[in-house]
Formats: sequence, C-alpha cells, structure tokens
Amino acid sequence: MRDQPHFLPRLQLQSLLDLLIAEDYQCMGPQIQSNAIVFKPFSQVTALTQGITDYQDAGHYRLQPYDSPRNFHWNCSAQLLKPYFFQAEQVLWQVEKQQDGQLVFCQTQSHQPKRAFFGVRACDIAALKLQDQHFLHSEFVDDHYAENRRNNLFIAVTCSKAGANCFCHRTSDGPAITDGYDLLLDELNEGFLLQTGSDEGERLCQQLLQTQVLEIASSEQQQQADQSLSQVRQTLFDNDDQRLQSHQSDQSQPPQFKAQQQSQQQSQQQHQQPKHLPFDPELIRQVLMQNLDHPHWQELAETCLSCGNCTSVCPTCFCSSQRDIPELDGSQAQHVRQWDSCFSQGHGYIHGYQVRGKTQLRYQQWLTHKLVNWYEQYGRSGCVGCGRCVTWCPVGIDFTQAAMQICQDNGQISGDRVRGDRVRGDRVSKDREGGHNDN
Amino acid sequence: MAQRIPAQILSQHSDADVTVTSNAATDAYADTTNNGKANVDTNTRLKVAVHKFASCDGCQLAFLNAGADLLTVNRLFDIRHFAEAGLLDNRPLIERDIDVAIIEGSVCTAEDIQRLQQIRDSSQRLITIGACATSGGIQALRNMADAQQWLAEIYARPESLSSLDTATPISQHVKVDLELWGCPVNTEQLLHALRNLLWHSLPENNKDKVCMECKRAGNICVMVTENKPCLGPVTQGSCGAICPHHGRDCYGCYGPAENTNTDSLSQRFSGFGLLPEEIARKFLLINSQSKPFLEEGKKWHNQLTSQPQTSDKGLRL
Amino acid sequence: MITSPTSDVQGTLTEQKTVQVKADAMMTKLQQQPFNARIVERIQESPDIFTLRLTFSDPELQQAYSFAPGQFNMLYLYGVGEVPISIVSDPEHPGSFDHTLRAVGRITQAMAQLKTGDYIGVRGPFGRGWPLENAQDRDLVLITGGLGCAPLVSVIHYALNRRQLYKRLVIMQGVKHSNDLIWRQQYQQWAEREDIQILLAADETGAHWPWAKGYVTNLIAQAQFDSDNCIALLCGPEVMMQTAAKQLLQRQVPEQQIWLSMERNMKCAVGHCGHCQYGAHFVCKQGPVFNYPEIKQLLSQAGF
Repeated sequence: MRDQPHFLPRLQLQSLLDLLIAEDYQCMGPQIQSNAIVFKPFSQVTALTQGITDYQDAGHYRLQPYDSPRNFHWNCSAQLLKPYFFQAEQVLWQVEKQQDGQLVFCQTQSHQPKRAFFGVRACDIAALKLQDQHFLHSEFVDDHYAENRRNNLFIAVTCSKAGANCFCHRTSDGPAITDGYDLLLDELNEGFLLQTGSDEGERLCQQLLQTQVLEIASSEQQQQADQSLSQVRQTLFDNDDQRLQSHQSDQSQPPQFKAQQQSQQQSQQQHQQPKHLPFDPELIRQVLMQNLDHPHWQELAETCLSCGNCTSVCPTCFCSSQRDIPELDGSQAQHVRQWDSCFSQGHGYIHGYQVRGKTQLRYQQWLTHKLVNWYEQYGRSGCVGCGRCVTWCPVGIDFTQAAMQICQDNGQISGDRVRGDRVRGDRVSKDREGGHNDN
Repeated sequence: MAQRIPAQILSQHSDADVTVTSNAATDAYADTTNNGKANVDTNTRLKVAVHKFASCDGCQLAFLNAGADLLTVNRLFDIRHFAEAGLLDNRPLIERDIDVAIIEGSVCTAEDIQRLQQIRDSSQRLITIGACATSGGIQALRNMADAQQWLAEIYARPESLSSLDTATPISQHVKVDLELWGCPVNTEQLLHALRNLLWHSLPENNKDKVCMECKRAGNICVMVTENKPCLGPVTQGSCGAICPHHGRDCYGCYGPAENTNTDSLSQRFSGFGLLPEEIARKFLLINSQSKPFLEEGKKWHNQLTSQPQTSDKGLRL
Repeated sequence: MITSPTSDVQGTLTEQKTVQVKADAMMTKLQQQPFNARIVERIQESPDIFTLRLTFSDPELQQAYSFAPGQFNMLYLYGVGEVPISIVSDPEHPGSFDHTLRAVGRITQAMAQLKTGDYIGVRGPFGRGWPLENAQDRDLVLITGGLGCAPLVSVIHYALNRRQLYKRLVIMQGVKHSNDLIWRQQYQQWAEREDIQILLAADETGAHWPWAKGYVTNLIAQAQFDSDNCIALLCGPEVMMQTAAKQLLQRQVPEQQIWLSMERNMKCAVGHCGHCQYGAHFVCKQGPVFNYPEIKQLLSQAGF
C-alpha cells in the first residue's frame, strides 16, 4: 500500500509541468526521435510519448502503437541520465601559451540549468547511485560531474510493463522504485498516483495540493497500481521461462551451443523452481575468474564486434579517455574527456604494448569488471538489469547469457535460467514483432 | 619566395585585401590576430607540398575548404606546391627540400610510381590523405577485374591509354609516416594533423569504431532500430558518424577500424536478408583494398560466384 | 598585552596549521589540473632517455609540493597530451624534482624535443609510493628490469641519502642491451662500497661489459641479503617481476615483504577514467606500488 495516496489526473500533468517551469526547471521528458525514445527538453505534455510502447530484444528495438492514453508505457529509453551527468564529451581544462612560453591553465566550469527528468525508472536510479559512488563518493571528487548533478529533480515512473531484456528483478534494483526520487508516479489510464521522496518533492506536492491539482487517490486506484507492479514482476519471471523454452526449441544453433543446451535441458528437469542470475559475489568471482580459459569466451569473441556499443549505453560504465584539441594557430588548447570503452584500442595500451589486444580479453574485462570486480570497488555488482547492453548490441549478444554459460558449465549454478540465445546474427531474422506478447 | 593564396580563396575572407607575400607579412598578420599571445612557430614554418595522384580531388578540397583557417595554415606552413590551389613549384621534384608531403590519390600508372619515389626522396615526412592514397580508393575495384577487358569495353581506342592493371595505395610503394583515412578526409582531421606536426608529434592513432563516436553524439543505432546494414562497427571513426546521424547506414568510407570482426557483422547482415552479392558490395566499395574489407568482401563474392543464388528472404533493404 | 609562552606556541601552531591547510588546498588543486612548470635542466641520459629537472613557476606551489618515492606526476606537453611519469628525485631535494623519460610513445617522443627553459604542465603527485618506512632497519633488495628502473631510482637516491636507516643495499638491474644501461659510472662507484651490492645483467652485451650476460632474475641467487629481515622492491616487465618474486619466495622472503610497481594506461590519474584497472584495483590510486599478496593472482594473467 502506498504511503501518500495523492492522485494526479492526466489532464493535470500539464499543471505539474507548468509549476516546474515556473520554478525555472528545464523539463526533460521522453520523446520520439529516430525511431526510439530519447530524453529532450519539453514544455507541453503533448510533446511526450503517448499511445506508444517499445519492444526490445537482443540487438533489436522497435516502437509500436499502443492503444492507451499513457505516456510512460515503455521500458528503458536508449539513454537517459548518464549523458547529462557524465557527459559524452567534456572540456576539463583550457590552456593558453603565452608569449614567453609559459602555460596558463584554467579549469572549465560547466553551468547547467535546474533540470527535472520525467520518467526515470528503477534501473536508472540504481545506475545513478553507482555513478555517484564513482564520481562523487570515491577518493577524488569529479568537479564536472558534481556540477552537473546539482539541482536535478527526478520524477520517477514505475514500469507498467517488463521488456524482454529487462532483468532488474535479478539485480534487486527493480521493478519497484523505493528511493532516489523526488516524485514517484504510478501511471494509470486516467492519471497518476503520486508520492514524494524528498523535501523538494514534498514542497512541490504541497504546492500542487494548494492549487487543488491533486486529488486523494482511491483505494481502487492504489490497488490497480499495486496489481500493475506485481504483474510486471510476474512478467519478468515469466519471460525467463519463455526464453528458456524458445532457447530449447531453437534448432538452428551452431554445434558449439548444442552440448550446453543439452545440459541446460537436463538441469531444467532437475530444478523446476526459478533461480536467480549468479549475482552472488563470491560465486561469480570463483567461477568467472577461474574460468578465463573457458571455450565460451572464444565463442563470444567470434560474435562480438568489439564496437563499444554496450559500454556506451550502459548507465553505469564510467571509462573515459582524454585528448588535446589545440587551436590551429597554437595559441590555445582544450583538454577534453570523452567516453571510452574497455572494447577500444586505447583502453589497454601502454607504450608499445597492448594489454587487451584480442576481443576475448576485452570481453573478459567488461564482464569481470561488471560482475566481479565492481563488488570489490563499490560493494555491489555494476549491473542494474536494464538490459540496454543486450538491446543495443548490433549483433545481439546477451550479457547475462554469456555469464551464465560460463558459470553453468562449471556446475556451480546448475538449474539457473538461461536467457534466450540470440547470439548469432543469422537467427535474428524471424519476425519478432508479431510474436511480442505485451501486457 | 612569394606565398600566394589564390585570389578566389582570399576573396572569401574579410582579409581579402591582404596579399600574403612574405614571412614578414604573415608575422604581421599573426600579431594582429593573436592579441599579444604567443606568436608561435613562425620561425619553424614547415615546407609543405601537396601532390595528387589518381583521385577526385575531394581531399584537397577538404584542405581548401578550411575557410579562414587556410590563412593560418599559410602563416604556419610554407606551402610550396599545391596544384589544386594554383601553387606550382616548377623545379624538378628531386631538387625540392620538403618537410611534409601530402599525397592524395592512388598509383595507377608506371609514371606514378616514379613520381611517388621522387616525392618520397625529397620529403622528410609523407602523409597520405583519403581512401585512394591510403587503400586504393574506388578505382581499385578494377584490381579484382580484368583491367584490359574493361579498357577494351569502355574506351574506343584503348591502345592510346597506358595504365597499370591495378590501382594501389601509396604505402604499397613507399614508406608512409601517417595515413589519414576518409572519403574524403575532413578538414578538422587534416588541420589537427598539421598542427601536431608543428609540435614534432603525430596525431593520435585512433582507430576506434564509428559506433563510439555515434554513441557519444547521442545517435540512435540504425542497425538495432531499422535493421540497416551499418558498417559502423567495423569502420574507424573521425568522420563524426555523420551517416548514422542522418539515419543512414555507414558505408565504411573511413576504412577498417582496429580489431574488426567483419565475419560476425556480415553474418548479421545476412540475417537481415542481404544477399551475398549485397554483402560483398558493402565491403568492396571505397576501401576495397584494405585487408579486412577485401577478405570479407571476397568471401561473399566468391560465395556468389560458386553457388547458385537463392533469395528466400522477406527482409530486403 | 603580555602574551604568555603558551599562547605564543598556540599562535605558532595556528600559523603552521594555516600553512598546512593552504598547502593541502594547493595539493588538491594540483591534482585537478596541471600547473606551469619550468624545465630547469634537461639531461640526455642515453640516445632516447632523458631527464627533465622541473620547478613550478609559482614558488608557493613549489614550496607546497611534496611527494613520496614511487609516486608519479602527469606531465603535460602543450597541445599534445598528458603522460604519467614517475618522479625519480629525492623528495627532500629543495626547489625542483626530476623525471626520467624514454622517448617511446607519441607524447614522450615529442617531449624529447623540449629544451632547458621550456615549460610544461605538471599535475600530481599521484598514487601510493614505496613502503620506505616499513623498510627501515632491513636489507633493501631492489630489482629492476628494462626501463622499469625509473620508479626505483628514486628509492636508490632516497636510501643512499639516508644510508644509516637501512642495512644492506642490493641493487639489481637487467637491461636488454648493455647500451641501455644509464648511470653506468654511478653503478661503478656504488659497487665499490662494501654495504652495497650491485648486480647488473644484459641480454645482449657490447664490448667491455663488466657485468653478467642474461636475465637479472638469474642473479638473485648471488644476492646477499637476510631473508628474514629484508624488503624487496621490484619494478619492470611483469614476467620479470613474477619470476623475481618466485625466486625471492624460494629464498624464504615472506610474500608481504615483496612490493611491485605496476604499469597500466592512465588518463585521469584519480581513479575515474577506468583505464588503469587491474582486476579491481585502480593502479593510479591504489598503486602503482602493490604488495605481492594483493596482486599475485592477477600477475601474468592475460588481459588484466
């Protein structure tokens, strides 16, 4: 049952928006651009996504019509918070060379407007906390990130559906949103249940109450929201089952997957209860780090393009490189930080020596960092279960499957669910849109 | 020696009335534009020569399109030879003492080979710009065909032509110090390289995939949302991911990235419904002579010639 | 007003504290962005190895600047980029600090053109240095290979300047070619001292090479030190360090007394850019010096 049973009628969403705009917030919300949902500034609710939903699978993203007035009936967007706080490109400092050759350095300041983000999900909030840990709460504070993080308002929305690549239930980051928001919305057809999660959220809520924008939520409405959430949770588990079945019935697999498939079938028979991804730190450490010569790494490397799409869309990945952009006349230079990836050439390069020359080693770095070393660095896994790396992988490699395959073959977690195999490109052509079962 | 910037270029700028004719004049220009900041590098003007081989001149245009920066280039460098810009050094090549030779185009005739060798001998550093100079360019498609037959088919009097059977990149004939990829290269890339040379440095050898740039630019992947056969995951960036930015698939004009997995990508294309012929064409286009693209293209091309074609794919792009 | 002696002391303490706070603030700033530093002297050590003696242009900054042996700075070449280089001079040397570089990469090759009187940017110091306080009253065993010598040169200087703090000093260095050995004369002088053992080896030797031919790790058996009371500091290629560590363990040196300086790509030096990750460690802030037990499982593991 929800603590503060406020109800924001759909027609009053604009009032919330107007209030925020009046308070100098730049409102960022989900909009369609290039066939995907992205976050852009808006001032009218009519700009928001509506009557649309997304379908995501490995290496596959489609928008589909959805016959409903809802604005937020979709799962994670292509990107959300990361590019606003840990910017893809950031000038760190500027330097000027004076007549006598002396260098004058000047740290650049980025001044961001107050921003309100509409439609932040459980996975986005979990990822933000991890980025905060890295850039704000470790030994050194990143001034640029800190500046970007000031004055932001998060209007979270509980997911009303579960995507095929979602697995926040397995990383314990969702689907319910428990903290990290200012306002939390549960979307119903006729409007939104609204709760507050911070002083700023409470203050805004009071203002809405004063102007009689908010109503008291009925118990029926609350029940509806609760039902929706448990349905999402159920779907997440059902998806696991469905995926396993399609995995087993998929006969077009290359031979190297056959043996593993058989062992999965056997173990499935033995263990009927759903289990979780191997996110136990000690187990993963043992299995992944001790099986760096497992043949599946090589199979992955044969498919992986080493293109860095997964790390770019990952909301927790923090790697960056730096370079100088000098003025042509040599009078000034900018020192710029930009997103980098453990899949890039420069990541493991030390003068004349490449620590991770081969794709296999780069994939191992990515997987072991997320699932093993992150625990030691920040006390938990670096994965929040958003599934972006699976959706936006051009060849549809499933990160979770990769980890499972290696762990399962070692008998460490027999019976754990294996996510559908979508690794090889030549099996993606089957029509998925039609097969999508949306709640 | 007088430095002349062609009038048509100068006329684009407000400084059009300044005829840049000597070091003294260029220094004066530097002082007025630099506001007392370091008047750098005027003493170490590198002597530059831009040469053309078989090409469309697009890369030289990327140079000429630098706008006001062209004046700065002229201040920092002593441009000795640049035919496209109207600057001709009529001394024999062998007598020239050049710091940086910039080469556009591929080697297509016996005379080219000779001229290239002379350029190399007279230059400290040699930079290739563009796909032709770096990997043979579009004209290198003839390397996979019967060149003589093509000549016979296309020209009325093929006997009046003397060209080699192949179009080859510069690095196949002489040592190349720096390769700038792209069809054409872009102005920033070229100017950044020139700037670095003045500091005794080469630009970063960044051969990361287009995808990295594409994601940094906030573009949406056309492969994932539209099944478009994008070569971004095997192509090196520096282009600014302009094709995906405009919703189309990358066609690999900046050449292969490092650590490419063309096999996996083309299997994915096949899954999208592309025929072997179409996949072969994706790779055998602008940078057909670069090793990863050549091998992948040939693989699908051979499949095409050795197997009867079947098309049962519903998803044609 | 008569000030009591106590308040005078307090006054001095407050003053010291203010100075310290100011120095700390400066050091923090020094890690965020580079500051202008002048090349006081440039020494060509070998055809491609050179030393830059630097001082911050701002005297207050130079005053506040302090580091420990084994730490590194990010050196910035104007318009070209930054590169991590360890500091080789004695931390108590007043007024300047030294970096020894080999012209091997894009930035260091361009830096080789720098002359005395030129300016570069310096950001630092960063990282965890050598555990020299733990090393007091012990035998010091320093093993370096190839170009790895620079981070340990600081220790050699440090120990020689405070010779009484340590017992025996064993300096072992391996180079690929005998021509790569720099500070040949210094080694010769040190070798003449009774309390210092010098063991040098080159894979390939030129004429008049008075030292051993082969790997430096082959010389560990000849090293004279007390296994129960020594500390071994290793620096160089990972394979060499691993081999050396194994041999030291065979000689009953406790693994906690073996320290290694690791090298990884670094961009930010403050643990943010992720390039220097070595397993879960950020080499730039948790290293570059590691205790053997911390990293023994990762050593020579491909890809990490």
